[in-house]
Amino acid sequence: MEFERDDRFLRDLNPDLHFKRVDGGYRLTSAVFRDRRIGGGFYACSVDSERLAGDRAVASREARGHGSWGVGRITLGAVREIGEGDVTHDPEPGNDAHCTLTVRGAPARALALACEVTVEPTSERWRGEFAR
Amino acid sequence: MVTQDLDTRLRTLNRLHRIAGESREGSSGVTEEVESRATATLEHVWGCSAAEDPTFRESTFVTITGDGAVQFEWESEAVAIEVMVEPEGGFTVYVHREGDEPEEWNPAEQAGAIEAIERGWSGTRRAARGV
Repeated sequence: MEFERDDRFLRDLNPDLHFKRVDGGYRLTSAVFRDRRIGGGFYACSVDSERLAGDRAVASREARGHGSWGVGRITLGAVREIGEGDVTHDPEPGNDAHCTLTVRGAPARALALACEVTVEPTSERWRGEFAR
Repeated sequence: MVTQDLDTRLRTLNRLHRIAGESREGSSGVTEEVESRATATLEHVWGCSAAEDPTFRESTFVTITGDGAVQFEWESEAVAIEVMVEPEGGFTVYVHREGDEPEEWNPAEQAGAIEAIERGWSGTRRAARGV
């Protein structure tokens, strides 16, 4: 399956590990995309294709036990141009929208800064620490 | 004050260790060996000249990657530094200077990581002097 540069991908955001407090609120840390080393200075992480997930995105996130987590959105263009990486379709049982996003280690921070938070975590602790 | 700051960060590290162990499916979280190296690294960083700068100390951020590396971050307006205490041993240091391509070092020993942090943070001091 081929994706276009405007295709958007959704990343689960761990409320305890992916947010850094800054003046006026929060920003995402590069740990969002540095999930596992794959060699050659690159990292990989799991994302869902927004187009393939469609209306099932929320149910899919809940099925992973991440219903209270946040959601980040990033385009393929940003992954390639900022992160020097790519996204490949990598369907899993029960989740046809699953993809693997790769990013080079050094620009992972810039990619995290370019990632849009579309859903904030809902836990009380997160709200107490980060709510704007 | 410096000691109190360090204690706060060490408690954060310990809390994240527990959280990582609890919340990561298919991952062992942070091993005791990595946590021990991360704690020792933070204690040594606190003794280096960069830590004399309140901006450095106050910007300290600790988190954990999916493969069990402890990630430290420090930042000013001029530079951001990320240090990974790698689960397989050694360190990865990324230095992001404003307007430049990020640089990467892979020191095997803690002393090399501290040196890279000092070198990276000196950009903040140069910026403060307007050099």
